[in-house]
Amino acid sequence: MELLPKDNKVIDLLGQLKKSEEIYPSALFTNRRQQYQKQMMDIEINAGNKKNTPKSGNGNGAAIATISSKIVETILVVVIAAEAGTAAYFYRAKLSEILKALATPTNVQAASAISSKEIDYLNFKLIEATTTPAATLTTATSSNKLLAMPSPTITEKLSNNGVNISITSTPKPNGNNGNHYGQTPKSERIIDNNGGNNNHNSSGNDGNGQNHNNNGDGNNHNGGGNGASHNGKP
Amino acid sequence: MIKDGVALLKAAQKLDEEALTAIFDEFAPAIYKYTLRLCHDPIIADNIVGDVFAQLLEQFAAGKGPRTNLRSYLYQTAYHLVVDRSRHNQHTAPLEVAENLHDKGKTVSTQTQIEERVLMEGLVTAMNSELTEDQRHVIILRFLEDFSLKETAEIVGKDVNNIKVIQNRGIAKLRKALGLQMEAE
Repeated sequence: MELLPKDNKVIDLLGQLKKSEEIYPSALFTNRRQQYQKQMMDIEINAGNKKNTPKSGNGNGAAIATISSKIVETILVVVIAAEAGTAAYFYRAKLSEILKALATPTNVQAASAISSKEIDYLNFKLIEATTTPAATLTTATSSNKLLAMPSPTITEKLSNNGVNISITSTPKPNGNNGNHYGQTPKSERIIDNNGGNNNHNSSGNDGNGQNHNNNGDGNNHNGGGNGASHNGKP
Repeated sequence: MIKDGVALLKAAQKLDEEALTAIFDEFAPAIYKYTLRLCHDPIIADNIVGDVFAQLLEQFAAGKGPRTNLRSYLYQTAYHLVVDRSRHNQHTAPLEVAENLHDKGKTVSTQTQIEERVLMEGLVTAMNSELTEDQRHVIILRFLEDFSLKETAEIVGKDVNNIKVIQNRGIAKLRKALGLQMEAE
């Protein structure tokens, strides 16, 4: 966007307006000039003080003020340092505790998510800790042997004052696996013609190694202790 | 008496009293006139002159201040002060001082001079009423204070091309306003 020839008239008018001299009123100008000179003197004095004070300090009021302010500043610094030292002396025990606490690293472990391996490990430990071995102590009076069947993985033999303690984790079955479902042998059933009476067959060891089978009278008598074998016939 | 501008500026930077006084005597009336054209109040213009030179002293005392163009620096300071003051006061008085100046020539009564006077009054009115603040500043700096485009851009703080656009739009507005007035007459 350039100036057009028809704009020259406006520019000429502006030139004429420029020629119209607007005079700074002499009263205002003189007053302003005095103020300016006063400001100038103040600045020169300040600048002179900055230059002269460090070297001479020869009785000038500003220089004295500067020196006294420095002295006061130094005294204040000393007082503050002394106060801090006194406070540190009185609270030295607490300060030492704080310093020790700061010096020793804290044993705070950050909580983190437990991995699946750790969970398995914890479960394993838990099972191991909770399985109390079902120990069955069998005391044999003749041989003073204690037989125990504790936890399935430990086999130890302890000898204490001639008493052998045998802890067998997995006892040998010796042909007797115990009563397991589906493995228990069915007992043989003996059918006798006893006239419709109840059949009582008790077999086993009664402690004397004798078998009593009472039959025929409707009564079963077991527990004979004479060593004779009775087979249901009077 | 220091007459060279560069030597004067260097002496003023060293807070030389003579140089500082010479600067005031040389530039204070011009700054006053420029400020008066913008704010239209002799008292405010005088106060702004005082602020401009006080800032100059502070800058010199702090080791700062202008290094090359002292005149642009002083006008720039005055411009910012005027803008700040106008933002606070929103003072929009007409150019009474300029109008009064034209009243001084009332003895002249030829037809041509009367037409010129009417045009001048119209110009002053248009500058106050039609132009934006930026356009008024640029036209005053360019055509009344004779600053170059570059200097005006530095004072106002805008790009040279932007100053060109502002100036031409302002002139076009003035031309339009004066043409309408002439048609109305």
